[in-house]
Amino acid sequence: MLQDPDEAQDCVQEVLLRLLQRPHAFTQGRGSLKAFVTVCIRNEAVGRYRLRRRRPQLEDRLSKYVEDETFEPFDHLEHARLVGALKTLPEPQRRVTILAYYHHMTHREIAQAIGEPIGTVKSRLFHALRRLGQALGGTPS
Amino acid sequence: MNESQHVDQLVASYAFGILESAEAAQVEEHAVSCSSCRQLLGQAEEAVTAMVDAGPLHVAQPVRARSSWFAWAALAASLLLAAGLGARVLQLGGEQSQMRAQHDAAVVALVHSHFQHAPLIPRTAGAAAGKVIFARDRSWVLVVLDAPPGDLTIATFGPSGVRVLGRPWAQGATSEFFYRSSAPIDNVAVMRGPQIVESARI
Repeated sequence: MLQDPDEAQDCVQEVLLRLLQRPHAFTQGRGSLKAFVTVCIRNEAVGRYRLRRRRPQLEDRLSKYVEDETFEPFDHLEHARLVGALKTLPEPQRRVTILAYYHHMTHREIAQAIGEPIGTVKSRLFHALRRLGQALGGTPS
Repeated sequence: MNESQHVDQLVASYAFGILESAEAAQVEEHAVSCSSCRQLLGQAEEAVTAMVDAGPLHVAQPVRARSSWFAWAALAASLLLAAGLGARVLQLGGEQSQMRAQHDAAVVALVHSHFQHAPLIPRTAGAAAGKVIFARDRSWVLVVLDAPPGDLTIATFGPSGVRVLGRPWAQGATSEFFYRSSAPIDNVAVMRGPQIVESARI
């Protein structure tokens, strides 16, 4: 995601330091410690990625989806076991998942790109992630 | 806990890392005191971790898929080598001498730099497949297009506008363009007249 080993190491180090300073951030009943730390590190990386690419590229990034009606983000993914799980999703859920997971778009950006309300985006992401968790064995069915 | 304060519709976005910081803080704070949302948050984190574990996603060429960037690097290297050898046996005019100088500069840059690549994203129908190979410090770019140069030009663009750098040169049925900059390069565009045909963010 960051395409920079040094920044990736900084990212991990910063998250681990932050977690050491906030040992109560992980509470019982939340899930596994591995999942908690993985998401913390990934979120830090997404934040850095978004900061780097925030402006003025956003308009350009959105125009790729808005102007090209034939653009289908799913068509651009390859070589991933994850694609098999993504294929189990209904198309509207799959689309928002790819925009969120791979393109790191916010609710507002996704809503703008697909022309749906933000509430619909949130709902689709919620249901999509539940299905993916079950398909990949990440959550109990 | 008031039902309206639950953050169940935000846990997936939290786990994807796409919430604004205020919303993310709201989710974390609420999860401390709400066991049902904490459980949903944990499940969302487990699901994203399963996605991470399932393998990375790669983005293929939007127009004509190439199997990997190595193919492009190999193509660029072979084109440059061919051009370098060809230049030695040909009597070159002024334009060709300049082209050879750019080839040499590109070869030196490729040999001595850590470089990455980015796909050229089409903005118009019929845009040629292409890649931008660039230094990790973004001090140079090598644009490789799977099409003859035709009337195309290469430009950089940003908040201050578009800056045309020059025309790519032909290599058989393909074309290339090399450019070195004192300032980091952010965006590269392939243009036809005033229109951006395709672009890459680096």
